[in-house]
Amino acid sequence: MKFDEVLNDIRSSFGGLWLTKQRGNSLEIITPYATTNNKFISLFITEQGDDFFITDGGWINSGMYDVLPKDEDTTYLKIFEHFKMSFDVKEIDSQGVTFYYVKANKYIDIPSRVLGFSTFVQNIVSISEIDFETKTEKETKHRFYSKATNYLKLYDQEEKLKFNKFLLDEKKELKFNAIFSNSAGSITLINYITGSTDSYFASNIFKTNTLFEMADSSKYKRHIKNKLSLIDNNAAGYLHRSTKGYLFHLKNHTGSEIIDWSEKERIKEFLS
Amino acid sequence: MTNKLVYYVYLHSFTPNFAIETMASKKNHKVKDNYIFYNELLAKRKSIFSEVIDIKKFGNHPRTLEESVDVTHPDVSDKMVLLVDVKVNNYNFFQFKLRYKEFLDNPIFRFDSDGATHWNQIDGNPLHKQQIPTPHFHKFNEDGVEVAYKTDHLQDESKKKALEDIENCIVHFFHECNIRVNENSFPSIKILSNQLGFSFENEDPNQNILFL
Repeated sequence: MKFDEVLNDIRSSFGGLWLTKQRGNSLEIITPYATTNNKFISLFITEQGDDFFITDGGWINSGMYDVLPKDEDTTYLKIFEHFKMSFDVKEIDSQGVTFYYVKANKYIDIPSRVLGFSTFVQNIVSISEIDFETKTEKETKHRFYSKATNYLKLYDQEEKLKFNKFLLDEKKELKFNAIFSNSAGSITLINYITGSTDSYFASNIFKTNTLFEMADSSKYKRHIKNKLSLIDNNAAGYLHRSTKGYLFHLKNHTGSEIIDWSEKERIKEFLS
Repeated sequence: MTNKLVYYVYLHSFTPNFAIETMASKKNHKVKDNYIFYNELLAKRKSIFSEVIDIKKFGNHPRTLEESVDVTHPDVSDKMVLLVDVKVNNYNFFQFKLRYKEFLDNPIFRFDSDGATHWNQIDGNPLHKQQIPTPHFHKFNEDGVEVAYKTDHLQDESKKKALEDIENCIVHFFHECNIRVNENSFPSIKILSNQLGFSFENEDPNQNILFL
């Protein structure tokens, strides 16, 4: 094998994959970095003041790579944070779309930022293709969520209930299964907890714990009247001995009311 | 009638637990195993009955308008739809998708005017020929692999320019996958009912965002 020739071929083939499109004041760079669903990563470079910003153009969160981030999955979020921190990626919301970006103070740093940021986008899009939950877990969640939502819809003040609702429109990670408006400026947050195994059940408790904690550190804290955790005490994951300890912690730590499905009528005490 | 019978039998022979693979490098076995049927879905004359497609509702993706139109195919009775997506701040950024959910969750055929460059990861082609920037069509090949391709019109600079306009482009799309309005005409397209006669063409995604 002629090694030099092989290397030259690889270099020229790779080099030929860099393409550009002028988009107003930004330059789209189509990179040779591809995702597992066969999309080449595009980056958008723009200059503001003395700084250069390399962004994803909002493409990750707009589904431009044919997948959407699984930002409700704790495993996904761990991986996402790992890549975000590793390449010092920042985010900003613009008209309902999250843009990811990195900054270069000096022109000389642009190529290095492009390499790091391409790696970030490539990985985030690729891991968005992974199904982190088992089929049984998906079905368990779907079944309990439908059951719980249908039960709440029977409540005679249903118009005050909103399902799958963000606490703050600008914070997409703060989403609850239901939010009830008790009165003007007073709300009740409701989250459902189920799980097909003890570890899924525990992970769903931790997620609710984190969401309630985040809500309490937000500017809406003083408006939160109640925090309700509706527990699927018929789920396979509920039976494990550690579950009770985690639920006890959820109650003590966040002040959440723990309501088992078998005593679901108690919810009404908090919805008035 | 014979065809109808064949298709009926064959739709019901699909494996119920089939997991659709979305990655283009992976094979979609449902398409691969039923490739003749898949091709007939695209090749046979289909119809819509809306002379005007008025795109005015927001769809699943942020900042994207979406309209859905029913499509009839001579051999299938299940619902087939044409979806038209347009970016609310850039009317030249649109997608046409032909969806037949009884067969595939993903669109069976699609056109992207803009957006991500596709990698046709198929051996035996030089690397640069595997890279297909937009505008491009998407379909499945005989191996069940989703591939992007450009028609001759999309490779001809003057014709390509005309196809940046959604109304011209839908005619090209209709020719490519054989759809017509009624017998032999094409739809006109309104975006937000042509409100105030404005057209938005902001192609810079970073515009008006102050990065820190």
